[in-house]
Amino acid sequence: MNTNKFFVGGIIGGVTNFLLGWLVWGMLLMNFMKEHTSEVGKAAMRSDENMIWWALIVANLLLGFLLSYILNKSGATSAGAGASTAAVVGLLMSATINCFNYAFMDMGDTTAMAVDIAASTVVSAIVGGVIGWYLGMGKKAA
Amino acid sequence: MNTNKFLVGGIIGGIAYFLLGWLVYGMLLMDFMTNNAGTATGVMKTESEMVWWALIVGNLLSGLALSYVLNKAGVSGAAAGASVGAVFGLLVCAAFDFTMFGTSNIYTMNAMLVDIAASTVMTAVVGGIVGWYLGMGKKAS
Repeated sequence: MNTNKFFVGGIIGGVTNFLLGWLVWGMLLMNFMKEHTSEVGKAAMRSDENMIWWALIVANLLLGFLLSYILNKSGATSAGAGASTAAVVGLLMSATINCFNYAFMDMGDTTAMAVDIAASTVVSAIVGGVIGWYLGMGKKAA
Repeated sequence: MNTNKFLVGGIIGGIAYFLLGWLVYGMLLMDFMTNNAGTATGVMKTESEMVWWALIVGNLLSGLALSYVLNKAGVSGAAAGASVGAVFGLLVCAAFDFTMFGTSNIYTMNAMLVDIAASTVMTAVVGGIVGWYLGMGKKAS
């Protein structure tokens, strides 16, 4: 695995994920998710001023590195290959996490769960497409 | 990608995740996680409130996710499965835990770090098992 491609791809993916996350969950789905969150779930969430931003930034970078690692390992070198592989990973990961949260926590309902899984799949596909495009750049130039 | 290998590997991985999860989180770390919960109250369901179908589906999906990644990476041995599984487990769990830590009061940083370590080890073990299964056919041929 090309370490340089992995790191740069991970950072590009992390930044893309952060921006898309802010757009999708921070703006588009904000009110919908609030309507489908339980009262204890709302109480458990930090207010905007209490959010730990360094943790959110680290989390987004880690997601970028995760997709970059998988796409490097799978040999994806185009936006299409990156998007399709990342969509499957995003779908399975998000569905797993949502199922565990639903099993153990009183946070939200199954409607919020289904919408979150769909949104995660689309966002992961776009991030994967961007990373895949980057991974293919060197190969096209060579 | 071999669809049969992916699906069977995913089911094997899901069962291994379920059993290891019960051992690690349901027994070994139970008291530690309870003592290191955050300030939020009433979020965790009691044993009688737990949604078992979601727990079973969640474990199967995590097995399928790992099997998909190992198949895509061309893994065909226990050691390769364990090493790719460890990286996958570390990054997935850390990304999710840091998000929850940043946006909610559900657990402390101590609980988060122990959860990431436990998840990395668990996914390495499950990755080793799935990787071993994926390599079986190749050795026989």
